[in-house]
Amino acid sequence: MMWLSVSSLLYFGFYRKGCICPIGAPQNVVLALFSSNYTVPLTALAFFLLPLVAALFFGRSFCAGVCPHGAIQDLVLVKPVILPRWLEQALGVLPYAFLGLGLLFAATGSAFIICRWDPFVPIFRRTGSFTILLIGAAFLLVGMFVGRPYCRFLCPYGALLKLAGKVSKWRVLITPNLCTQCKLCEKACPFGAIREPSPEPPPRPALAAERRRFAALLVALPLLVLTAGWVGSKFAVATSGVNAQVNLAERHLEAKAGNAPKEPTKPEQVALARAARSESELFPAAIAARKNLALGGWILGGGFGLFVGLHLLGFSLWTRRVDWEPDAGDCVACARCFRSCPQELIRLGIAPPEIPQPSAAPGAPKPAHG
Amino acid sequence: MTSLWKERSPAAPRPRRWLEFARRGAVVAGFFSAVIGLVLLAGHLAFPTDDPLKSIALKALKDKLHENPADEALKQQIRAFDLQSRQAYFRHLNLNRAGAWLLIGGAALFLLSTRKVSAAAEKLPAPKLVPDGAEREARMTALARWAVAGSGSVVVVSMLALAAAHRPPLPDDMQALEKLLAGGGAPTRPEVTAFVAGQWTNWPRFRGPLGTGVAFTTNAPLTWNATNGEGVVWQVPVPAKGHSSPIVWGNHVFLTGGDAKARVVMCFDSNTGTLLWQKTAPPPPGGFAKETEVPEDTGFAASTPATDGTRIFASFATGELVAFDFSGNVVWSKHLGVPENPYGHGTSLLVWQDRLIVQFDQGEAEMGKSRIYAFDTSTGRELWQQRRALSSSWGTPIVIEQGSRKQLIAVGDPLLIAYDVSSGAEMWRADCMGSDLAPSPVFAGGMVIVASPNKQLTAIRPDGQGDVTTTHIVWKLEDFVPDITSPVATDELLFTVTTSGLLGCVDVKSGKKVWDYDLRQDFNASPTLVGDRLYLFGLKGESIVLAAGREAKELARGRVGEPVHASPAFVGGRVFVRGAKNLFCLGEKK
Repeated sequence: MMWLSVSSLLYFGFYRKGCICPIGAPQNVVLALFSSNYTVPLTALAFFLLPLVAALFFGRSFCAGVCPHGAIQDLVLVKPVILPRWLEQALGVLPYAFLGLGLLFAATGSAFIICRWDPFVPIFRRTGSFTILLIGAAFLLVGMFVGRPYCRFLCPYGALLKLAGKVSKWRVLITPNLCTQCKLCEKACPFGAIREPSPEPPPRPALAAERRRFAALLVALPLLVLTAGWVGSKFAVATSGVNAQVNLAERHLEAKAGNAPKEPTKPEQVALARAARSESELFPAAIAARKNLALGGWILGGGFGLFVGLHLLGFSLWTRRVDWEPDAGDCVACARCFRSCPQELIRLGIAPPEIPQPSAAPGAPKPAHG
Repeated sequence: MTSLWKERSPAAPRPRRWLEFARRGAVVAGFFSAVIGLVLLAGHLAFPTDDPLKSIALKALKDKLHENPADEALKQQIRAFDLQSRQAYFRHLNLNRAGAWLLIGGAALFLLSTRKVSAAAEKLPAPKLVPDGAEREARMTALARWAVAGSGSVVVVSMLALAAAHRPPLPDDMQALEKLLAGGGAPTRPEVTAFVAGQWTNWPRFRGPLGTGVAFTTNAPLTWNATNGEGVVWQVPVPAKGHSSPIVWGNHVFLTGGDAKARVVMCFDSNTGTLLWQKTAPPPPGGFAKETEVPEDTGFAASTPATDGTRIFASFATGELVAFDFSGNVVWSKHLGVPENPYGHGTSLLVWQDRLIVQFDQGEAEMGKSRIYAFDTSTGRELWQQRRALSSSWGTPIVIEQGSRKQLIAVGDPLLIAYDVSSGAEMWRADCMGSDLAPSPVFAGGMVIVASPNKQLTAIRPDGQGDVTTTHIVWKLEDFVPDITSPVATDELLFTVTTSGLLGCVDVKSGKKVWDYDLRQDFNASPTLVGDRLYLFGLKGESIVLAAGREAKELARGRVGEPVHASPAFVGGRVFVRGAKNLFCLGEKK
């Protein structure tokens, strides 16, 4: 896997300079859906669809095998620290918020912020915004101890792959025949993606309390969606300066009011400023863009509220798990756990003689090997 | 693969020499990377790259050169400075690039060494037995639930805090923006409120308050005879020639006139006919490059002025657009360019609330010169403009209200287009017009009705979006199509009069002919609907009043004794008519 990571990093990262990559591709796709003036390049479409389709069947094999962002983080991982589950869950919400933001700004033709805030592409290109370079460096420093922090806690495409991976049928599973419950795989996984067998279902009183909690959350869900939608619309309006039209209109208004406006910094802002549009063209276009953003903000906020609500509801559901196995969404298919699994070593015929051969437990499942 | 297990087994000791080498390598590479990283960081912070394209010093030198373009020494200085700054810029970039490679190399060595050292120090895991899995799972789930709820809340609260902290300077809609531009978000100006209230009892623009030829008075006189003075309150000669129609506000009657030398606005006392003032529209700065030529039939002042109750706005075939106050002082003026129009400029002005609408179609569509503008009535500041890929036309736009939508309806060749009068944004369009467009649109029975000479009458529902040609046209009629005059309509009946004097009546809902009537006189002036009567003034100097009903019924005839090209104004029981030479006030003498 290490050599795969090195190859991926050298080719997709330093040689191709991190572009085009699937992480930003959802923006191209969503812009093409909402703008008649934009056609998604076939390469972008392919980069968006192929890993996603693969994840639907085989899990997140793209993350471990192809993605240069994952590769660079894998290579810097020196001494992994296992984060507590609650922290993983809390930070795991962020990629969906980032994905929502990226799609909002792309759909309204405002900006491709996922690309703009990509922490590793400036490193691959050895040039870029100083702030983003620092953020990239910070991710790599943290990545020496926390496995793939960007993939797990920020990557918007990883968020999509995680959803797709959850329904994948032929995803990676650790043990070929029988799990001996040795827990070595859990220790081997630096990403906290190995789940232990589920305990017995809770007793009846606890189950009833869980059902009441589930019902209460279900009732509160529309309120959560509406509140988050309202906040989303306010947020979208407040940040509408990301849109080049709105940005130019705001700077123009500030100049008229006698305040020295900030110089445009982004290429599209500079281009628009140079286009020398009249007020009568600019202001209606800017206000229309602002309205689109406000509407998109409702959808973004509502969608985020729905996601958090469904996530909370999911905690009330009991999942039956007999063996130690990788989480369908969190596992990036890096295969580290294989190297720790005695059963895998036996299957490969390289187990040392001191490891006892397992005896099959009655009724134990026999999952397909990934 | 057989070596795999051995590699990870503590039973197989690594060679000490290599481990020590890796450990030292890690220290050296780490130190090297840190130094390179710090040098790059310090270089960035202490010596920011001076982009030659953004150099302030270079810009200052260039500005100096603009003032003194012949200064050769300065040119040399600029070239030398430009070369120097470019060289410095690229030297800086090259240093950064080399530094980045060194940093990457150093970091790679550091990582390689560190991984080796770390792998050597790795111990086999010794997982502990956890006795009560169910309780631990329940505790972890509860903790995770709170963590997700907390992080979701943090995201939402952060968004809200950012929204609260940042108040964008751009308002939410065009109206708020216009208020902001007009004076820091002040409420509607008092004169605008007065105008909106007063327009119904006055005649502020071509064809009345709505621009549709419908008067909001019902006590207009029926007969008059200018040859013997019967039914004529006053009659005065008009000092400047023109075909524009009279407009009336309070005690003022306004007319425009002029020739190639000067274009004027005239103000008469509506009670006595006394000429109060006559003012010339200011020419553009620098004057005209050449004398403008317009067809005799149209003249220089075919465009009817408009008023907002405080100012009078006028436009001419030479492209002047001017605002006078009611004392005849210029409030503002501008020049829109001499329109390239084969029959001269004839489109009249329209005031809607606080804005003056100017439709300025000219040339061929592919020339892209046609525009429609909205100007602030008080300052002349352009509020919006829209390009119109249309050819010359002479019809005057109207504003209609369809629910909450305030639509500016403008005819054009070949499109009828509705704009949002607030923002200028196009709302819908219909491909139903042709060339030589003089008739203006009307709004009746919930439909916009337009006449395209030599083509058809068309009724369209104005509740569409985009191209409504195939979806919103209710009916078309190829008869009774006027070529110069505009139609007039009740909610049930539409009346049109052709230049040759054929008066047609059409059912508004169905578009079927109801009756026709030969007036035996040529007409240029558009008909006016006053209550249930239809008023027409012809080129023979004769006027005809008919019942605006389902049967053709002539009620009265009158005489002004001279051709009437302009449409009359009906205010307070009086009719103001511009003849070829005189301005008439018809009605009962007090």
